[in-house]
Amino acid sequence: MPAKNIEHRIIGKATDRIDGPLKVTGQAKYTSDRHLPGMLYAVPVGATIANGTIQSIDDREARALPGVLGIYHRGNIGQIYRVPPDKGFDFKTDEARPPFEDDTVRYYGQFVAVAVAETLEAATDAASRVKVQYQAQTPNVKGRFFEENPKLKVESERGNATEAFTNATAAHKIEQIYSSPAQFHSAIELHGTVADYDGRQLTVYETTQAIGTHRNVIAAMLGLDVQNVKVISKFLGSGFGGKLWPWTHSVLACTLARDLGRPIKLVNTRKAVFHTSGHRPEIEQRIRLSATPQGHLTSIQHDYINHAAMLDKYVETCGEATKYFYSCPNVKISSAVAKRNVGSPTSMRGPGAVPGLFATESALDELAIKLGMDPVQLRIINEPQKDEGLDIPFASRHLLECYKTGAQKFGWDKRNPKVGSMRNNDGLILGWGTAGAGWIAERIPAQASVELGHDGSIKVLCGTQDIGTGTYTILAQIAAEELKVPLDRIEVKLGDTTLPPGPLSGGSMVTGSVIPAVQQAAQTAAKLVLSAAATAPNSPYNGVDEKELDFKDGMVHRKSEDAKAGVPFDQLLKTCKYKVITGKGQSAGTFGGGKPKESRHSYGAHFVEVTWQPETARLRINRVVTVIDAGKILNPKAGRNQIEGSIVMGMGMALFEGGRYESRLGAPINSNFADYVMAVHLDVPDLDVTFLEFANTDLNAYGARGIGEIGLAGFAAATCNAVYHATGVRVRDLPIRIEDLLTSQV
Amino acid sequence: MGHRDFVHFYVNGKEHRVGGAAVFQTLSDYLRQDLYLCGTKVVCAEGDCGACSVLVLDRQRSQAPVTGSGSAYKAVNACIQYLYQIDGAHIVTVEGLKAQNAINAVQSAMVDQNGAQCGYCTPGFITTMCALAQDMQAGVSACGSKDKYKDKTTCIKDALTGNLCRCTGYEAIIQAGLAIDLDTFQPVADLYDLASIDESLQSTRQQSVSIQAAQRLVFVPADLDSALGFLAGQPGARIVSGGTDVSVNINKRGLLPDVILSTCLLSKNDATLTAITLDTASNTVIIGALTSLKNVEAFFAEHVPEFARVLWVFGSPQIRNAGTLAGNIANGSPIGDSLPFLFVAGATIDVASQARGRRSVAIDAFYKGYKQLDLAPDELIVGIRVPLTQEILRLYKVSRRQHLDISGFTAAFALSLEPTAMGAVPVIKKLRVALGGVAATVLRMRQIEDRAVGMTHDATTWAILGEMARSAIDPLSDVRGARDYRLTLARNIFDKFYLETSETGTAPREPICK
Repeated sequence: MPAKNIEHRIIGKATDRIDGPLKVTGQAKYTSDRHLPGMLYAVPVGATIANGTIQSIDDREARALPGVLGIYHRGNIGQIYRVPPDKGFDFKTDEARPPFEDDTVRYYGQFVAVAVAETLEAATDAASRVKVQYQAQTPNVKGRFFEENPKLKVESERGNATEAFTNATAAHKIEQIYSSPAQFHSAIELHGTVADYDGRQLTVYETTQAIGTHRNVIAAMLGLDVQNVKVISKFLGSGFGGKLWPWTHSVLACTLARDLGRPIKLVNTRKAVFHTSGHRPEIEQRIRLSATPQGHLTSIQHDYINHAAMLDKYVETCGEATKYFYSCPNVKISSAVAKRNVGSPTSMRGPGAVPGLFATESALDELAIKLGMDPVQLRIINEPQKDEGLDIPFASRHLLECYKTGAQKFGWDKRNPKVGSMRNNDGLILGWGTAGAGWIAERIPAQASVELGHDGSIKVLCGTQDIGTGTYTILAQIAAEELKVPLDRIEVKLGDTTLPPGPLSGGSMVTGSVIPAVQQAAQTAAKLVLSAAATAPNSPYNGVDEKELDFKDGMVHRKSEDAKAGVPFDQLLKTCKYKVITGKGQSAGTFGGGKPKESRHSYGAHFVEVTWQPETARLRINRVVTVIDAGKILNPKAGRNQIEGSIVMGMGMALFEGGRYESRLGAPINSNFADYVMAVHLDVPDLDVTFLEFANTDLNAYGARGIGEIGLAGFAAATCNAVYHATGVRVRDLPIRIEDLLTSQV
Repeated sequence: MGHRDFVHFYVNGKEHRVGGAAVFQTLSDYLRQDLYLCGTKVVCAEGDCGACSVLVLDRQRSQAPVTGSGSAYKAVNACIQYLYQIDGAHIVTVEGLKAQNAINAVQSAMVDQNGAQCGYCTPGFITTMCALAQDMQAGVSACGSKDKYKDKTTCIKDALTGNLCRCTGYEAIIQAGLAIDLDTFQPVADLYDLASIDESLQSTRQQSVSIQAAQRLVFVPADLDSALGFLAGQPGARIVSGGTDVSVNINKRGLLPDVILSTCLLSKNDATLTAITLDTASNTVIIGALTSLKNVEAFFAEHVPEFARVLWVFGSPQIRNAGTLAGNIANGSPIGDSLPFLFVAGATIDVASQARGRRSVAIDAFYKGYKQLDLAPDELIVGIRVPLTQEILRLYKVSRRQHLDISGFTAAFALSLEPTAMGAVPVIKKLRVALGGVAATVLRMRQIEDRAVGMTHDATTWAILGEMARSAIDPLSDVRGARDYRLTLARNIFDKFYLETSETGTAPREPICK
């Protein structure tokens, strides 16, 4: 569908976030900021082994401390049920085992007991004095999964990739293994729960990206009627996937609240978040590519293995983008899982595609070098005309436009492909690398309502949550656009399961999903007001055909007259004795259904410049040009944040981040912000972010797609490709360490 | 004078007197749980992220900028300030910034530039940026001296590098820093009646604090004699100043000292302990033990810029505002960032006890083994003396991330060359080398130093010396670096030093503020 140029008043305009003032004054209330009368503090005890059994728990000293109400463990915790089997998102958990279910310890830090006390200090002290005896066994936290030759499951196949690869000449093919360590979301806000049970109703204040799922899971695990569980998440200190599905801390807090009859606050320590609240798994990927001498891909084989917890089966779908990214007749994608003594992995920003594109986009660079081709040119000639994985047309694919714009802005045509051949004015060696990005563009079911009140209020209600991306503001923009009122008239209510069910904040799907629902709700509300105006006995417009009325700037007026000549809607509602008029809207999902008719994705291209100082082995990311096409950008201010934040997270992925499991204890040893290193202010290079706004209105009338994840996809590959260009060292194991570059001959 | 049984401080202009077990909680917990001031967030609980940043009135700053009231605030991490560390302080939290119920110029810049995304790190950014705005207004750069203030963007990045943000990619926050309207920014000091707060805090300032709760005892001496007297009776008491190390260990590793001596009142009452002065007769810098690293950095920026560079990458501004050089010395870690410089500079540590009075120890005699110091349990470090020389000095810190990271390897070189004729290769007259992160203590490489004398200052010499270093050490492998990597570093750092100090050197020195 061709791009439409619809003029909008508020949509697409750089807009301050409406919750900005609350956030800069510290007034925005997050889960752990809740204080309830009579509230108790719970502090869990984490296992100090990664594999073995609990022999005994001695809590006498802990229980004797002043202010301590109890120490709970397998022997005395109340009933916790399992969640019912479910293939969708409604009951999804990544750690399905109810906490304390057995005496087996399967990962380091697994909760084995929880102390409850009147103060946080007393609970912390008590937790530290619980003595747990273990029978420890050697944990398995090993990487290098391919060495074990696991049986691979075919995920997708077309043509005969094995044969094509075998038949290709050595000069035109590559085979390499790429690895990435466990990566931790490290959302700034710690995971936590404040749970309050009044004997019938359980209210859960939670750090969650999916209030609906959280409610369902907690109700199921506590054996409560789902109607009697309410989950509230008004503000969330981000999540990046780490807060999508319920973790054990929340189940424990809610169980204790149910059983003790007093509100419970349980906020994980940073260490406990590292141990028990998910991570992107450690992954190994084997890529085999072959091509014609001219560079046309003849085969792609992508095999990947990720570690998973002993009881869970998390698969990092690294081949997601491989299926459709390039034109290639022979493609085989297969996966396996390596069970390890680790906490459950979970989705992390761009699950599947982000690590997948690190491997495939690195491999493509290696192939380009082997063929003596420009990496951008190699991508151009392998541009597909359709999604060859599903054999369906693309809804909106503008990857080459992203490359073209990016190359121009970056000055790619000045690149000398010879390793170590380019220098800047300071004499530093430059490395230039590029890689592509792709991410799904889908919708999940959403409902919303818009309320026009006789007090003049205009409320948008949606049971989704704002994890920081700017959902509050986007919903206000949509309602303001549709109702033709200024943005500051709109009040947005989110983060409460009593609101109309909204989408979970995952997969970059919220914005695309809520647009039709909020549009419909706003349009319906406006229509209902006009109906009321035309029909209510006291209305000045009584008897006027409602088709001749309009709603603009908060005024009901005749179409033939200026809005100013009309009546304010609140006055009209008062006159007509309506307290509130509610319009409802909903949109259906597109995600997870059967085979789609079109292949819907967003695309992008990264260009990265590194500087390399061989005398002193100093590497810096110096300059980044990123071009993204994610359709219409509803709020460029929030949009830029998303991509810049992804790039800086990508710098972390490329250069710093990686959990390290100590082999003897099985502990992730860098489970804190001193040792799990992320990029800070002074690491930030020159960032140039451009959006190409090819609006495709398949998903929604504005032609908007999500942008939360795509910016991270491909960035690590672009960096590794730049590092190779500077140093001649190909790093295939993330993160890039200076040690790895010491073999550079440049 | 009898002892007080409470700590006395102000929060947002309100007086607080806290005694008993409550003083053993962190300021961040006290703010959040007791005062319901939840704008201050706890994220890492070890001073690594800045989300808990609050402002503390700073009376000892050597370059106190003159704002409306002539008072300056500095940002510190509330998660590693226990209440016993803040006696006599005026704390301002994000809730305390509200002037006439409006958002201030920093807050409005952050809203305008979309500097808040999820918002959880935001209050910490706001407080830190208010300290920055105050310094900008006073014409003092975030880095400590006016001439470095040329590059505003870098100074903003520098001032905020102790504040982690996982959402925005920092760019919007940097733009907010650039957009602060300094004409309308009202300094924090102007929001409060500091004279009456001072008067109130003065009333208790001469009184030491002694608080016992269950097995735990904390003593906050009002003067040095009381401190030494207490240590004589409680040898081995844990001494806490900035808390950037001890408090981290309490939070993170379950350290639970039964007896604590907190120096926060000493730093207010005894100017010799916070002063930093140059004794021109001996050309020696005399550093009071309680001088903040930030002040040390500002002082050395003028006298030994090379050492200021190391302090620049020592830790976040919040850590440098709270931590002390004496603390880094007493911590005794072989990767302590300040130590290699102090070793090659020939620094002396002054310690005092009630029983034996004062004595001085040369720094390389101060370390007996891994974290083993020549410091008796009843002794307190009171000062550090650093002789200034005209030698060529280079200091190196190797860490994965340039800023806000723990070193894996450190090195210091002090070199003097014989005067030579034009064009001739200079000859080494004297060399001192110290390496950190390669043994249980920082090492002075005396064999190398002796060997170097008389050798020509050329690549071959430094390659030989580097090889000597590699053979002389036996480092461990740990998370900060593998053994082989450290061996390579020890070898190659000699090349690096040569390249930087030879006239034909090709390795440009990265300036602090660029």
